Amino acid sequence: MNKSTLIAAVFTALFSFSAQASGADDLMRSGLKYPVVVGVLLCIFGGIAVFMIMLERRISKLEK
Amino acid sequence: MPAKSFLAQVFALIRKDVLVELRNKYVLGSVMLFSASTVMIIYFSLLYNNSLNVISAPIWSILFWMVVLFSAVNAVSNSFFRESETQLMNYYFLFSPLVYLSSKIIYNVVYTLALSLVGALIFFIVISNPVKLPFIFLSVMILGSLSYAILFTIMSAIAVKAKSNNTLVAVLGFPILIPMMIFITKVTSAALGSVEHMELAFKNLMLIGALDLMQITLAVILFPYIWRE
Amino acid sequence: MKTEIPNWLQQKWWKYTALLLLFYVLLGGLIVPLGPGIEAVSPISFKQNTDATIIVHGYNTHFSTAGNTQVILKHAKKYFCVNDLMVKDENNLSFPFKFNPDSSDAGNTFDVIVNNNIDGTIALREAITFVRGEKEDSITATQACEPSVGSNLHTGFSFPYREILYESIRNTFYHVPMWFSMMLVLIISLVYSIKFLRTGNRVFDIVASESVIVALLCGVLGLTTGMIWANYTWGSPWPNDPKLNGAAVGVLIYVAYLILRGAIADGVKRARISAVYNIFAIVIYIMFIFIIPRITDSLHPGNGGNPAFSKYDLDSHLRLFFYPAVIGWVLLFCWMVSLRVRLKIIELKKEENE
Repeated sequence: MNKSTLIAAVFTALFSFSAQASGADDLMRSGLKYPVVVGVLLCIFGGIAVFMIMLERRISKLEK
Repeated sequence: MPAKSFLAQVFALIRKDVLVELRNKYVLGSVMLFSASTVMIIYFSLLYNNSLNVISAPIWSILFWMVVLFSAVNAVSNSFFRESETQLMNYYFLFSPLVYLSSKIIYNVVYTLALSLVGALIFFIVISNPVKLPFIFLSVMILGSLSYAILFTIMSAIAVKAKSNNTLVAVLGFPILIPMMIFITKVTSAALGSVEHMELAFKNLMLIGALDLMQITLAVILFPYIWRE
Repeated sequence: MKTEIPNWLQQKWWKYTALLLLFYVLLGGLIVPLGPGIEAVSPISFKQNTDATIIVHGYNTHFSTAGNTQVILKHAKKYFCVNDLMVKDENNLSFPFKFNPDSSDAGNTFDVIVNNNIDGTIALREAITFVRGEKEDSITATQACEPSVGSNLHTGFSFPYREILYESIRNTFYHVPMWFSMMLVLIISLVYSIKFLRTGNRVFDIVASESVIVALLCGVLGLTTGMIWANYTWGSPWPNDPKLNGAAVGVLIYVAYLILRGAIADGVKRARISAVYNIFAIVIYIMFIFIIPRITDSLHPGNGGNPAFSKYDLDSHLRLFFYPAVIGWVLLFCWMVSLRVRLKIIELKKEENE
């Protein structure tokens, strides 16, 4: 429970950070589309990372 | 058998292969018919698409080598697949892997060369004879048949040991054949062109030669590991 | 049989390094903006002796906030300076131009160069073509000028603006490392196949075969990212490019390898035969990918007069993300290999205990 809340918090923070960092002077970054794309990509990457870490743990446990 | 020299053993094996081939004449005939009918398919497809006369040098060489490719796969893999497991076991105890490999490679090279010559003859008669530099054409036939034969010999050995069939030979061999095919068809289309391409043709012939040499080295090093099974 | 697992496979630091690097690349690579550049100039051609208003469309430029904006038209060593600039907004400016050169300039295509104190010097090559008019009047010819371009440099932190690539330049961090990773993992597989044939230790066979599976993943990912990229830049998903073709051949060879493995039931026999095929295939394949690009033109940077970047002018800002990306992806794929290997070793041990 604790871990998943932490992960969720980190992602919300990152999401807002990426939304903030995009300047409005830029055609591609004006509007909300780009931050959403970045957020989705980060979520996918986070999913892969979590998956790999979980696999790592499970295999370590199996090895013992 | 141990008294015999390396070469004598190799030739004994080749002789056996030739005898088996001659005994089953219908197999030889079917391989020849296979190339002939493939050429006929190409001929009729070209003829009724009104493109028999506009076929360019690269297309000619690609079609030609495709025909040789398919008959070579059949011929080479046959020479392995027709041997029963007990036969292979006997060879394993009687001969060193190098003897067996050499005999198979020599036999298959000659066989593939014969097939490509026959294929070329049918191509000349039925489709066209655009060869302008016979010497280069002949050298690429020899080196090309060499690459085909070595590659498919190894792949057939692998497929036989995997207890699989001809399809596996093609699946394993075709991707590896791509680089060789590029050089072979390049030289062939140069042989159909004019003398200006002489230099390019020689350069590519050397590359084919280098690839052949590399394949032979790999085959000699790796074959004992397949043979051991 | 030795089946213990090398210590470094179980260590965690390099795995977390991979994740950290990739996270940095993903976030930074998407957030850093593209540098300024000229997107288009309209009209793209006009006749001699006609009054035309030329509009310059910039991308991420700062025409209105910047000062000292200069516009210069250039062909070979000849320059025309432009006066009366009208700045519409940050990304658009226009100027009236009447072209009446001596006849040698007609038919030439001019580059458009813009310089200001924020964007630095930006240019669009071969932007405008001057077409010869019906009749040459006696109006005085447009004077060529000796430009004194201010030594302004672009100051912001950004990725370089390149024609053809534009924003898609960020794909460098994903597409290129796939190729590196594939090569590295294939070399691991080759080394372990040789090791297996020398020792007969089945752990080595496991490493070799699992590397191939991960290499296939890299190959497929490299192909898809390459195809999408090529479709938007070179206009076709399969531009006859040696590197793309090399990856495709690699995928074919290694799918054949997996089929061969699937065809053999016995474990030791499968290990030995597939090791032989692997070594045979990889040697020819490496020759293929090193020889073929040298005999044909490549669309890839640095080959065959490509307008894209070459590895020598990979921008310093790109490098800040590119090198971490390469290291991160390589480590990530090695991690994948290690996970699969450890799983297979557990299975093997179980098999042996039974």
